Amino acid sequence: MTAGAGWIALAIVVFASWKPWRVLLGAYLFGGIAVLQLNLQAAGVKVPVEVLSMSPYLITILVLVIISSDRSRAALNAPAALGRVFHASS
Amino acid sequence: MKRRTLLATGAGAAAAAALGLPAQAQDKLKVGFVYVGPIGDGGWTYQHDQGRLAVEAAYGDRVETIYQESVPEGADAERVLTQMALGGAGLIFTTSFGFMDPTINVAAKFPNVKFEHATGYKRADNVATYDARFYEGRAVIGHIAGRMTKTNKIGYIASFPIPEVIQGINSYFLHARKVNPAVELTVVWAYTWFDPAKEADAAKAMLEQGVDVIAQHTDSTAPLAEMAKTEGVIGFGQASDMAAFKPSPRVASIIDNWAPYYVKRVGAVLDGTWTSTHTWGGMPEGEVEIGEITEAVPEDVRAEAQGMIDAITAGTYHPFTGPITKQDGTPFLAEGEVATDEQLVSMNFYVEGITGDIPS
Repeated sequence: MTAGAGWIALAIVVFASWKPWRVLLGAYLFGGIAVLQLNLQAAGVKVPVEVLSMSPYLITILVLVIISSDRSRAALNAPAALGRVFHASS
Repeated sequence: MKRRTLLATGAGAAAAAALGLPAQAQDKLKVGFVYVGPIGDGGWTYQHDQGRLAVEAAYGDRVETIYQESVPEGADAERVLTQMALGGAGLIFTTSFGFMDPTINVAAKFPNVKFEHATGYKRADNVATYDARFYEGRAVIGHIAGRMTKTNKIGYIASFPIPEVIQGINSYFLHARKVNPAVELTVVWAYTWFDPAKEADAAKAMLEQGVDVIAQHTDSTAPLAEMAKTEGVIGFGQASDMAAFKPSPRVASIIDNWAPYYVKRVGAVLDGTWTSTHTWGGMPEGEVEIGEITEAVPEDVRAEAQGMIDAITAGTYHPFTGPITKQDGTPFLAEGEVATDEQLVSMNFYVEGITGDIPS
């Protein structure tokens, strides 16, 4: 249904540090890679098609690792209640 | 319906299926169709649905047809198939290669339900297979591509690296090269049957490389819509006529006509003569057709294409007739030798002259 873009959509949110305008930037980056791999295939670049096809996902992992490497910065931007159990009383 | 009633019905149906009793009244045959894309794809699934409608038109009240669109190739397909079988379907057509194992698995649990799987090779007592010789159509459009290209670069949007697709690529290229020794082929693997955005991107990427004739092995009309934006670029309708893009970029089309087969097989179930078979029809059987070749193609090329269609239909020409050499230089077919069906269904190599590798 999401044509393999579901996880990338989640990754873009993290990449954009939950800032809407940066989502636009992230969408260009990830969308660009998806198109780039098709262009590289058409250009006959000597890279196995398997590697080119998985490149959007490899880049996703890579970008997320880099973004999350600075723990304090990642935490600063994430919504404060993310991952916390919700209790109506507290 | 109350939940308990629902459960009871389900259990009843399961018990009936397990005992081998028909889940529905004998008089009306329920025929199910499982589609990999939406009917509105205008291509592959649309043509299968035309076959379904032909079954309804042929048998009227004696049959009831049901269908499910956009079923993923994998575990989800088993769920859909199980639901159809429990719902009383007596015959189920699964219309994509990736439904092969799900069909075999579910068929084993419902021995009294008959299954028909398209384009696969696994059969059982209650599982038949059927396919069409698409490579015959590829030969004709390959010929047109070789004669029409001005840049000598032709393209092919491939879906998955399976023999059926590789047959298509080889047949297309062989017949383009035959009439144009300078022609080069670009293949882009989209790894999807239906993804309009990606199909269009693949077409665009090839256009940017100077490709001016594109064939596709994917199901949507998006590549043709992309080609329509550039003057002088042509392509072909795939699986369905895609007549909306006439007279150009769509200059011809390969049409899959499943209706005669579906009508015949449903009839066989109705009169009790159905057995598990494998059917591989092509132009002689009317299963593969070439749609109108438009006036965008010069008259002499049109006549040559028609000549090839006539020869294949008459059985006097086989698109894989030697001498044919494999990409690595080893011989595949000797002079005048014709490929056997076994050689075709296991085809896993490019022919000589195609650059690049088939992904494994």
